[in-house]
Amino acid sequence: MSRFVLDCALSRPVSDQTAQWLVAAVQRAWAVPSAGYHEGKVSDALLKGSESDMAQVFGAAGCTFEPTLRLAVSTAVADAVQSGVHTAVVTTATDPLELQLGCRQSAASLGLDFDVLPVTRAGRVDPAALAAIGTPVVLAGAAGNQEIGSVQSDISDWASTTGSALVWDISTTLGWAALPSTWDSMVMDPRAWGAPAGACAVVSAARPVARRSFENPAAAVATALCTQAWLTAAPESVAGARRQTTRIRARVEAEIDGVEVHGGGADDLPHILSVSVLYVDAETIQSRLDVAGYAVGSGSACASQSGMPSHVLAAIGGLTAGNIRIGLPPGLPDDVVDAFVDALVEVVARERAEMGTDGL
Amino acid sequence: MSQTTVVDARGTRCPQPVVELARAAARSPQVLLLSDDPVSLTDVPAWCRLKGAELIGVDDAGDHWVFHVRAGGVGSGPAPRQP
Repeated sequence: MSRFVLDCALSRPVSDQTAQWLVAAVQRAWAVPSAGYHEGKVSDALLKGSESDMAQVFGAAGCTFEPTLRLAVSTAVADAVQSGVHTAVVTTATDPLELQLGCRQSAASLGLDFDVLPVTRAGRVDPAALAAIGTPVVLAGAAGNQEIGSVQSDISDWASTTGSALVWDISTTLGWAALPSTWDSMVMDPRAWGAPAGACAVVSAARPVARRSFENPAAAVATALCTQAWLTAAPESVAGARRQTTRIRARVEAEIDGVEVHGGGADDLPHILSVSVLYVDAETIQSRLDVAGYAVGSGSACASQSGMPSHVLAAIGGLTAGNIRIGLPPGLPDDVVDAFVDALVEVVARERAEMGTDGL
Repeated sequence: MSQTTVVDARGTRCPQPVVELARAAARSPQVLLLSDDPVSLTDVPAWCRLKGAELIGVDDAGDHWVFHVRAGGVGSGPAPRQP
């Protein structure tokens, strides 16, 4: 049976090419980079080469790798903070939990205030909350939202007026939409474009990031190669994904009553959609789609480990019931998208019939 | 037809409280929904917005919440489309 992973906003299946790069790198760069003999020096040289590749891709002054996005955010924030200048680390209510946690931890360890700014119903930072910040801060946020596909407002004027530093998480955005025009550093979990887990990157605009010891040089090598490959392939993927999210949104709104869709607009990321459906159990929808061959995420409480609904949907006042998250992979055939919507419509109808919630 | 229906959905979890709210709203212009599911704090306002109903207020009753919903017209036709 065919299988389609449609939960590709934050991680995507690893291609055969990337797997080959990883295997080659694992065998070449197996030694700890700090080891004081030939094999360690080979590992370190390959790691340095990958850092240099990543910096070059982004026109950055430097790059360093961290094993998790949270650590990458902490590193970027610590790097951006100038002591005696920045008073707080702030993020926004719809940013990824790992990013929020990284900000909170680095604020605590740096002795700075920490704040989470509210967002508009569209998921962008609330302009009034931003305008209320009068002192220089470090603002860390996602350039594009991982669940609802919203693209963050251009806040470069605010940053230069207040003397604030900007740290952008570009995991969902790279290749799919323009990167923010102004940044002090950018962080990313390259699993979003099919790199192996474990090599999150920090690139810094003005000065080289303080280089961290990184114990997984093979993942860094495969990630740098995979990132360059994605940037080559991405431009021809955008229009197809845009057409497909637009079509999913239009069909879902036409064929399912009591539905709320986020994403799929002209200003949104091209490949991300959130669909919430009244009177259905998200866990059931997710598992029935899984059986039918489609992997989708969910932001509903019943489908989460924590028992809490998506903090993104809660922050924008969206419906969290019956929620599925869609992140399209590049190059998906159009007929798969139509077959997926057919399956979703059928699963919702069957679930509502079984629950006796038809026509409510 | 009574003017206000009280729905006790305590002990049930999403999506059940909103399902029971919708059932009550189809036959009564005002609904008091009792729910101890924190998801209701997000989803009852969202349901009201989607269905053109009005959330008049939410009382915190300690171990549950009471949602005051003016449901007028919810049962009479399809909800307006959101932009």
